[in-house]
Amino acid sequence: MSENNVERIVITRGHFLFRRIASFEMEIRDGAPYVLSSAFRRAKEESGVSVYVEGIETAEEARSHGSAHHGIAMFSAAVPLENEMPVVHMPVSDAPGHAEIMQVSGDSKKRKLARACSVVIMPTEFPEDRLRSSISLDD
Amino acid sequence: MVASAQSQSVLPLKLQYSDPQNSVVSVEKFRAFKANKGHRRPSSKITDWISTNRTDDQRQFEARKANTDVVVYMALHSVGMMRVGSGTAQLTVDHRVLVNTQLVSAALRRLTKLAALEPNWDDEGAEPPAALAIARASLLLELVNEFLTGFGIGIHPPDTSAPLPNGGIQLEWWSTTTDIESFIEPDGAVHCLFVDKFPSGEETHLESGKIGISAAAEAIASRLRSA
Repeated sequence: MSENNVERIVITRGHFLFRRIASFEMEIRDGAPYVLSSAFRRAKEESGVSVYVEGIETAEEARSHGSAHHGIAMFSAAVPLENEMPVVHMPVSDAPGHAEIMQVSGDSKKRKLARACSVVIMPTEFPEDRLRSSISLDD
Repeated sequence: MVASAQSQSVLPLKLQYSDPQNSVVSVEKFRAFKANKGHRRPSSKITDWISTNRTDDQRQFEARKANTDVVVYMALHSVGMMRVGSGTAQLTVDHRVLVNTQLVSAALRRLTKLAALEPNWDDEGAEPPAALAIARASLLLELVNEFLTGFGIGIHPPDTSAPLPNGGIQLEWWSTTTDIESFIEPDGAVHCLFVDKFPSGEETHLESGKIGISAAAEAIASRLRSA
């Protein structure tokens, strides 16, 4: 059991995972949403990559941990597990499905995770909203 | 405000931009600025410094409300294909470069916008793009296109650019057979991931590790040439 009395589970290849994707980390390529590998980078590389376990949380619940600038991508846990990236269930008080992908080191691993992603919820707000309002390039 | 004379191949332009007191910035200040000495915060209006042959691409550099070093640096550096003439503020712009600049304008415009991202743009504590990363990304764009031009093939601006949560910049070039992901870290370090794609959907990856910016540009251009 974890601190908040949520049963910890062992994440296997049969699980699916949700990852919040900031709008800047997503493009449209060949007419379809395309997740950039930057979605699996963090501000500080020593931490794991946060994901949410499907079945414990829904995509909408995973989305609720972020903002309208986030979409949600889903991918098989087999991808990290088969590429030397353990996935550890780490439930927290408001996110019982929270888990972390460990050892996401190197550009190739991040690319593999990104390519495994299917976007299931698109963001509803977009990057321009995050630009400082004092700058206008369109005068 | 700006005088110019035009020939078929070379378009001499005079650079003139104003500080808040409306005084003309000297060539020395310009050079010092390009050398990034002192990180002077210009808060400048870059007004009408190119008055002829104005294009959408050039207009972005007028950036009347620009209030960051980054934007001004971008203005001076990314059109850094320009060379400062000795003793004057006159710049010489190869006409071909102007055309190329238009082709990469969308990428440059996006980089300029990325420079204005606020801290925590991803709601997970992301840093805004570092000025050095923006400048180096701009330089990488220039160098890739210079190599492509040297190879005698067309310009290929990156297909996307994105901020990295640590304050870096990611540029990607895409084709049917290869993808190139390049990363410019906040300290200016560059590394690339070269991806070969196969019809089966499989990929092979080659990580460059940290690499000099010129070597990165040449490798990217070489990949694009053979794609």
